[in-house]
Amino acid sequence: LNIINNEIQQQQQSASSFTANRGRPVSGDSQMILQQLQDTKHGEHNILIYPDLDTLNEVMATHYKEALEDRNELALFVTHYQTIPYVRKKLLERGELDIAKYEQEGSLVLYDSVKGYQTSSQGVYSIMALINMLIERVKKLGKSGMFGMADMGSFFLFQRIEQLLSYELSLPSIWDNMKLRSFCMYHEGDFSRMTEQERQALIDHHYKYIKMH
Amino acid sequence: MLSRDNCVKVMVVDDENDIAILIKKALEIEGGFDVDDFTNPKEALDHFKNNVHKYKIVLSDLRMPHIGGLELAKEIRKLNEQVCILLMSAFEIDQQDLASEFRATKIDGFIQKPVSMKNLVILITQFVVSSSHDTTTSSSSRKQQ
Repeated sequence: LNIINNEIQQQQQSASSFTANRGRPVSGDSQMILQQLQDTKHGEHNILIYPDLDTLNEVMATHYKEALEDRNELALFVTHYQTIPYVRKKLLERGELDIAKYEQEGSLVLYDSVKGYQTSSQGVYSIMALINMLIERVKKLGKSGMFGMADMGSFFLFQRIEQLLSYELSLPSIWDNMKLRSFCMYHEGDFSRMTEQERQALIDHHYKYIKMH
Repeated sequence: MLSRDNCVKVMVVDDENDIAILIKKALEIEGGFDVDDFTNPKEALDHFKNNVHKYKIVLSDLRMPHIGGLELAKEIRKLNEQVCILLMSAFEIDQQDLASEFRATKIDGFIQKPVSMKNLVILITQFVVSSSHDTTTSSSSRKQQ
């Protein structure tokens, strides 16, 4: 009975922590943001604003290593401003990850944002189709869940802000029944080009708003 | 190769500082061009607004934060119909996918990175020669993608 009670208590705590953390803005340097990434749980659909690619890479490389090696997660990175070979190089240099091994077994997936959001026949939802496919792979590979970061820069390249908003707002703030924790990433230079209302709509819609200095 | 007397002016925009400097040096030393380089496309656009007829060629990266290459090209084209606008990218671009965007923006050419500096100088020189010819034969004609 105690065990059942503990489980119920844990579930209640988990549910209430989702509610308590909802929309909580967090800002800080790369170390603080790294801690925030480490604290994210499956189910969270967050938004991350980064100031420059060097800062992003520092955090990204460290956390992808943790996701793949310590958490046994499947990891997806959707890149916009850096080519896939360059992202591999950064993961190798800073995270000392065995990229070839993880890519070969299918637990690390690097994807181009233009293909993912703009030029695919499935349109903006092509990434969601990929995520659904990868969630199936999580089960097959015996992974604990999935971690993903996706740069939204391609919407700015094609000047499709309306589509961006409609896509983002169509996604849930919490991934119900999905072992997925995800971050929609925005370069500060892109994010600042939207109107205050548009920015706020995105911030409000995501589970957690994290701004990196 | 053009002589320094001609001193064709080129605007280079690339958010990666090392690349912008590398291209500037190559075009100046090997091509004899007069190059202004920018790492912030916003600053590049502001500069262009104040120097609408200064440049013969604008060579810009495609994917940049603040203002992407397509938007920069659109804004520049509004200000100057004649300037030759070239976009470049290290990403493997399916030009079919971007053809309509390039046409709408009246992009004169696309350069796939990596490109050797020697080849880049040759390409830019060709565009200068070609656009000079175009303007003498028909001021309204524009190279098609």
